[in-house]
Amino acid sequence: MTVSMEENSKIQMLSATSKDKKVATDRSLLNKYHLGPLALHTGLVLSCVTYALGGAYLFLSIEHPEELKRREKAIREFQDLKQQFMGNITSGIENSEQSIEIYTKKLILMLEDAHNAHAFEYFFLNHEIPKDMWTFSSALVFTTTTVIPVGYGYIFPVSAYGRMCLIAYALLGIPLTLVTMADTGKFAAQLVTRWFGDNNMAIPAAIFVCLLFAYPLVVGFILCSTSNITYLDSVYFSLTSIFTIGFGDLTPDMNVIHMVLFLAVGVILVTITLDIVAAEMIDRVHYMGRHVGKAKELAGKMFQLAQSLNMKQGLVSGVGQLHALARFGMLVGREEVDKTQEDGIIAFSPDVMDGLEFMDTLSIYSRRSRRSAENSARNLFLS
Amino acid sequence: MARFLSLHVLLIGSVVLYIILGAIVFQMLEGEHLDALKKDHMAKIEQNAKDYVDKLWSVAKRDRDKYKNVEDLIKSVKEDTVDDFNDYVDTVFYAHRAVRHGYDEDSPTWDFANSVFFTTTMLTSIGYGYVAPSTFGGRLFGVIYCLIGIPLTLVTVANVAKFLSETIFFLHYELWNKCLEWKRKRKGEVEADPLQPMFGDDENEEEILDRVRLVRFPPLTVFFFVFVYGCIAAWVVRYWETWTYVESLYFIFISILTVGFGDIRPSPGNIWVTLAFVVVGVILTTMCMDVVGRMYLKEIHYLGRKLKSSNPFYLLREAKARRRRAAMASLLAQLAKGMIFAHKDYNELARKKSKRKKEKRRGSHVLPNEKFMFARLPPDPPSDCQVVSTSAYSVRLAWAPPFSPDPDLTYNIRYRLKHNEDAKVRELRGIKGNTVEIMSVDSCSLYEFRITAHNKFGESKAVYLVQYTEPQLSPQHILATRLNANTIELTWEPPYKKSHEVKNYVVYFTENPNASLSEWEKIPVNGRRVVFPDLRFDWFYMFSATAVFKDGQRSPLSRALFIKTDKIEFHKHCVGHSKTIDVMDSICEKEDNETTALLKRDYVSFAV
Repeated sequence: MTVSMEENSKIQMLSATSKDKKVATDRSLLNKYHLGPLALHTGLVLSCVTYALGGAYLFLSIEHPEELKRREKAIREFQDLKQQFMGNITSGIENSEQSIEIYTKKLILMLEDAHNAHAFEYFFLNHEIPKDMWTFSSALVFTTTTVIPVGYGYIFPVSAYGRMCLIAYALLGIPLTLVTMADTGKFAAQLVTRWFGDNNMAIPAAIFVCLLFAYPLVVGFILCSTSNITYLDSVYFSLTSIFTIGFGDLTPDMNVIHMVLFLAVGVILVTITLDIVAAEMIDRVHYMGRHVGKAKELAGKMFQLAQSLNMKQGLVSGVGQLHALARFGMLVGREEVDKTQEDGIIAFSPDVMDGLEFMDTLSIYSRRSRRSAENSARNLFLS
Repeated sequence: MARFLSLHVLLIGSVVLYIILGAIVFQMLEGEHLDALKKDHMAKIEQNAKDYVDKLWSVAKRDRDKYKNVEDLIKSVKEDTVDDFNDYVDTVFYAHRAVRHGYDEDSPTWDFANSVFFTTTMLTSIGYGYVAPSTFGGRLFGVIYCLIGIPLTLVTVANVAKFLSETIFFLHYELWNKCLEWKRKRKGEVEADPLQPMFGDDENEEEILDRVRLVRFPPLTVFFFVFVYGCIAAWVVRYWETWTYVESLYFIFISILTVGFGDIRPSPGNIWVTLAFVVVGVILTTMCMDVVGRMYLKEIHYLGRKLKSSNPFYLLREAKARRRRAAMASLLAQLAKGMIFAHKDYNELARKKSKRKKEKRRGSHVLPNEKFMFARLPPDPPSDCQVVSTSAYSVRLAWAPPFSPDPDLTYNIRYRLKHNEDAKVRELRGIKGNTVEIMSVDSCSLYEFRITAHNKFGESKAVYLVQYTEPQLSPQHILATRLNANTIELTWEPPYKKSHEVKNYVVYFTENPNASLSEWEKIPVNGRRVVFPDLRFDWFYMFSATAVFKDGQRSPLSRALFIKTDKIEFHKHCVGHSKTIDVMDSICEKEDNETTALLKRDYVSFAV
C-alpha cells in the first residue's frame, strides 16, 4: 500500500509539472509571436466566412422548397399551353396563323420568369432530369455576391419571406464585409508602405493603381483560357465584377472558390486604391470650398502635437498646455480689444499659511517633493 | 458662400454631364444593334412558324386519302410534324435567351431615359442588367467609361455624403443643447449668467459646420435613418407600379445597397422617380458607411495591437483614454481652424465691433463660448492637497483648484478610519472653497481622506490623504509658519481638557532626523507661540509639543511636524552684520515678554 501511494504521488507531481510547463509555453508563444492583432483580423475574416456560409444554408432552406413547387407548376402550365395550342390547331386549320401568334406571345411571357425559363430549358429543350437552381454552391455564390454588393442576379429569392430575410441579411452583412475588406486592405497597405518607405506616399499609390489596372487583364486572360468567352468579354466581366456593378449578362464557368477569391481580392484592391487616391481628392475638394487652404496641414500638425502630448506627459499636462494654447488662440482673435483681460485661474494662496511650505510624512512622496530630489536633508530623512 | 457652393455644384454638374454624354454614346453604339437583334430573332420565329404550318398542310393533304377516320389522320399529322414544332419552340426560347425582357409591351430599349438610367446605375455600381452592352464597341467603351467614371462618381457621392453628415451633426448638437436647457428649466435651476447664444447671426455657415465635428454621433441613428428612408421610398415608388409592398421594399433596399439583382424592373413612366430615389438612397448609404464604418474601422484596426493584456479593466481604461485623445485632437484641429479664421476675419471683426460699441461685448467670435471649446470633459484632480493642522476632534485640509472646462467646481470629500474595515464612510458634498475643516473625527485615530473635484460633466480622480488626530490633552492645531528663510514660528491652541490647569508648554525640536527623542532639544514656553530664529538654511526640522500642568504632570506628545527652511537669500543693501546693532543691544535692557526669544545660540541644553 505504501509503495502504491508513493507512486501515485509521483505521478501527480509529474502531471502537475507538465501542466505548468504547458501553460508557460503557451504564454511564451503568445507573447513571442504577437498573435493578438493577427487573432483579431483572422477572427474578423472568419466571421465573414461564417456569415456567408450560414446565409447560404439559410437561403437554401428557404428557397429550395419554393423552387420545387414553382417548377412543378411551370411544367404543368407549359403542358397545358401546348395541349391547348394543339387543340386549336386541329379544330380549325384555317385559323392556324392566329393560333401560332397567340401561342408565341404566351410562351414568351411565361419565359420572362426565371423559374419558368429554367424548367423549360431542362425539361423541354434538353429532355433531361432538371437540375436545381438552388444548390449549396449556387447559394454560396448568391450570398457572397450579396454581401460584396455585386449582385449578378443569376438566382434570387422569390418568396416574400426570403426577400425580407434578404433585406435584413444585406443590411447586416454588407457593413461587416466592407469593414473586413477595408481592414484587410489597410493591413496590406501598411505592409506596402512600410516596405517602400514611409515618407513618400506617391510610390504606394502608383503601385496600387498599376495593380488595379493589371488585375482585370490578368483575370480576363485566365477566364478566356479556361472558359468559352472572348478576351474582351472576360476583361469586361472581371471589371464589372470588381467594381461591384455585376450586370449578370455573362455566365463564365468558374469554380465557386475561385469566384469568391477573385471577387474578394478584386474588391479589396479597389478599396485600397480608392482609399489612398480618392481620399486625398475628397479632402481637397471638401476643404477647398471653404477658403481654408492650409487648414488640413495645420490640423495634421495639431493632431501630431496632441498625440505627442498625450503619450509623453500624460493627460493633465496636455490639458494644461492645451488651455494655454486656447488662451493664445483667443488672444489672437481679440488682439486689440482686450489687452488687460484677467486670467480665469488665479494661483492658489491659502490664508492660514503665509508662504509656508511644510509637509506631512506621507506628502514627502507627493508631486511637490519630487522636484527637490537633490535635497540632502530629504535623503538623510529617508535613510 | 457663392464660391463654397460653386465647387460642389461644379463637381456634381460634371458628373451629371458625364452621365448624359455616356448615355448618348451608349445609345448610339447599342441602340441599332439591339433593334437589329430583335428583328432578326422575330424573323426567325416567323420563318419557323411558317415552315411548321406549311408542313402541317402538306402532310394533311398527302395523307387525307389513307385514313378514313378523322382522329387517326390527326394523330398521324401530329407525329410527322413533331420535329418542326420543336424547332419552332427552340427558336422562341433562344430569342428570349439572347435578349432578356426584350419582347414585352414595355420592353426596355436604348432610348434616352433608359440610357441615363443605365449609365447612372452603372457608375454607382448597382448594375441591374436589364440592358447591357453586347457589341464589341459597346463593351470596350464600357470598360473605359467605368475606369474614369467610377472614381469620379465615388468622389462626388462621398463629398455630398460628408456635407450631409455634417449637417446632421449640427442639428443633433442643437437638439442636445435644447434638451439640456429643458432639463435645467424642469429642475428649477436658474443660472445667474444665461448662456450666450452658441452661434451668432453674422457667422459663416462653414465655421458652424467645422465646429460641430466635435460631437460624437450615435451610429444606430444613422442606420435607423437609412432604414426609414428605404421604407418611405418603397411606399412612394410602388404608387406607379403593380408591385406589392414587400416587392417594392425589396427592390429599394437591393438598389440602395448597390446589389442590384435586376429581377424586378420599373415601368418606363416611373423611371425618373425611381432613379431619383435610388441616387439619394445611395448617397445616404455612403454617408452611413463613411461615418460608422470609418469610425469603427480605426478602433478595430488599432485595438488588435493591445490585446496582449486580457484584463477587461485595462481594455476599458485604454478605450477611455483613446476617446479622450481623440477629443483632444479634435480640439486642437478646431483651434487651428479657429486661428485661421480669426486671422482671416480680423478686419471684419474690427469693423463690426466698431459699429456696436454700446452693445455688450461677448467673447471672440471664433470661440464664442469656452464651454464648447473644451468639449465637456470632467475636471482634473485637485492639486497640492495637504493637511494644514489637526486637533483631537477636527482636521483642516487645503488644496489648489484644478483645471476644469466648467468653472462651476465643487468638491466632495469622503473620510473614514484607515485600518478599520467596518468603519463608516462619511461624505461631504458641494464644498465650494479651497479649504475645509472636518469636525466629526475621533481623537488619537488614523483617518483617510478622499478628495475629488466635481463639475456638471463628471467627477475627477481622487486624491488621498492620511493623517493622525491629536490626543485630547496635547496642544491642538499646531501650525508652523515660516517668517524668514531661516525663521520658523510655531503657534497652537490649548488642550480640550484641563485647559485652566496648564502651567506652560515644552517644545521639542531637532535638526537630526536620526536622533531619538531623548536627544532632542527642548525649551519651555509660557505662552502659545514660539519663534525659532537663526536656524540652518535649507534644512529639515522636526517639532513636537507637550503641555505641563500645575500638578506636575505632562500631556502626551503632539504629532510631529516636519518643516524645511529655505535657501539663503542675499540682499544688495545688506551684507554682513553691523557692530552698531550689537552695541545698541548690549546697552539697552529690554523687559522679558512673550515675544522675547528665550533660546540663544550659545545654549546647548536647558533644563526645566
